[in-house]
Amino acid sequence: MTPFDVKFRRYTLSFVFLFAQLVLPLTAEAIPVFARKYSMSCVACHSAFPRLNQFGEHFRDNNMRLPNWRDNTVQTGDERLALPSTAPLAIRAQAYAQAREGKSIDPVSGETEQASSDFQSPYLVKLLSSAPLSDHITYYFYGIFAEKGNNGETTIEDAWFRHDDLFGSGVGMQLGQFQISDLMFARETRLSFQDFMAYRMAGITYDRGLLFDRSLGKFDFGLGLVNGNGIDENFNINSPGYRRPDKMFDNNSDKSIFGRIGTDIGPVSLGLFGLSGEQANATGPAGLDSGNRDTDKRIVGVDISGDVQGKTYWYAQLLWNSWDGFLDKNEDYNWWGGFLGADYIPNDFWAFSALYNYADADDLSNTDTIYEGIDINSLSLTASYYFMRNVKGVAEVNVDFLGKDSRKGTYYTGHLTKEHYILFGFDAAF
Amino acid sequence: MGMPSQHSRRIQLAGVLSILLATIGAMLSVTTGNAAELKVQRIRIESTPAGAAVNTIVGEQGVTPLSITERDIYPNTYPDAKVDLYGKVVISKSGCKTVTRRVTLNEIKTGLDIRLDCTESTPVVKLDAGGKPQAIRKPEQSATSATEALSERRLRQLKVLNELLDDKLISAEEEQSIRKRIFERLNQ
Repeated sequence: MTPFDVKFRRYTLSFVFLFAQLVLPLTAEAIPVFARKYSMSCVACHSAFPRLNQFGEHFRDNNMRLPNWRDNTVQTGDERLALPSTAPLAIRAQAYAQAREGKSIDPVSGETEQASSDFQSPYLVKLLSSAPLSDHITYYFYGIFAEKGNNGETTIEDAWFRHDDLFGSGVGMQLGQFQISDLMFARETRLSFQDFMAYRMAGITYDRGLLFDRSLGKFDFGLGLVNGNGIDENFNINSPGYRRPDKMFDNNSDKSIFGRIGTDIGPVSLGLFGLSGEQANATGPAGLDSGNRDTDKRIVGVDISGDVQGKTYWYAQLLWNSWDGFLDKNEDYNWWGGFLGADYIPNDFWAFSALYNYADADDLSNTDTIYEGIDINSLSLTASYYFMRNVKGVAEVNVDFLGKDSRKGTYYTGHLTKEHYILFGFDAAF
Repeated sequence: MGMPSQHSRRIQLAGVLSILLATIGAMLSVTTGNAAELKVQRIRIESTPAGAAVNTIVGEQGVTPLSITERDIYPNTYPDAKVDLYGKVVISKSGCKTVTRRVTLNEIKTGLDIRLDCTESTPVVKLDAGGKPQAIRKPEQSATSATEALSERRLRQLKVLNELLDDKLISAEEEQSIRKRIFERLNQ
């Protein structure tokens, strides 16, 4: 048997195995943490998992708590102790097989690796936990055991406490690690595999900080402060002496301030977002390194969304970014990006989604840095079939409308390969 | 890196084709196979006595015994003012105490069998947003001084009014306004 035969047989067996998994009926029944706690069906909060429906948003805005939240707590006889009677845990898991036009290109050496097909299984394994701890305080947390091939690494993403009525003022306060972009559209509840790329490019996903929110009349206000350097930085505090145990997450005293004002105009929700903060400049070959200069960063965003009879949801986001002195300290770099999407959920079994991502590197174009790669122009079409409320099969096609760049400078930067892909797989929460 | 050999190109092609075929096959299988076997979750509701009206957040569903879908109690959209009725069924019958009940996951499977209390003297009870019993005023309690003077007809009107309020078919303001008119007529 030739090596080709062995590999071909392996592909064929894998194909048969995956095909059989989809054809055979799935009987698993499982309920995530809130459904378990309140003995409610997933459909109470999701029009199609993980997209939230109107009540799901109401539940989230009410600190993820129903008035009868104490029903499932341990009866200790102590009114001031409300321990969940079972561990409030849930798991989300995703596994995909993907055919992709894409390469891994080292920006400096140009060394290239390529794979046109990939079994991304598991793609994601996540442990989630959340529960009300008092009449006003709720916690939420999840850790990722494996994501995008990072086996063996555990990453904590969302992890926060929230008080929904600070000093009886009606002001909610959230402290911990969260996504700045959650003020607009939550990436975790999208139906597509493809991400809301403008959020990632603008660097407004996970950070550590404080977020206040308050509704006043027809307006919702959110105002937050974050370290501004993501969730990776971690510094030893050694200035008081030797072997001090504590660490700091932020590397400077400056914080990023951000906020959003939102309102409903008829059936349309509209929001205006703003952020002002700092980020380290980019330097080194292809701009791969972080420099020592703190540079100003400003973002203005507009988000708009709505739904038609709870079956069709649409949303759009625009972000204008201004990065002062980010590469050359005497230059300002402006760029913009956004996305536009719609989910159509005709019945309890199917959901169809379209997501269009666009970003223009603008002033960062032709800088011979990796930031030329902010350019994106792609459409993702997704079909989700729900075997169960909490188990779906996903098929997605991504079409890349950008032309392929040729190498223009010293480094291998820009859109050097197309990003078409087709994938299918499973997404489950239990 | 050298040029890919003919064998490796064939392997790449096989991998891509496998994934394409699996995607198409999966979509075909669920549309023609499993989908036919699956049913939308329905909830059976019965009452004793039968013939009670069943209301949910989306409106009147009919009279018991009947079956409704999960989406009749968990709609994706609803008027904000009705949020307290989300996930609940309201079962009412003339002469009986109205029951408002949050439907649990287990009840979706087993169905609901509600025994209505049709004793006239039973105090009317409704559930608050958290599903906890909340005493509400009966017409005769809120008009103690006028009770003796009420005619049978007026009493019936007040009972119907109370049911309409319980069923959320009228607002509290509307109920107060109509109640006031009934008493005004009584005093004329």
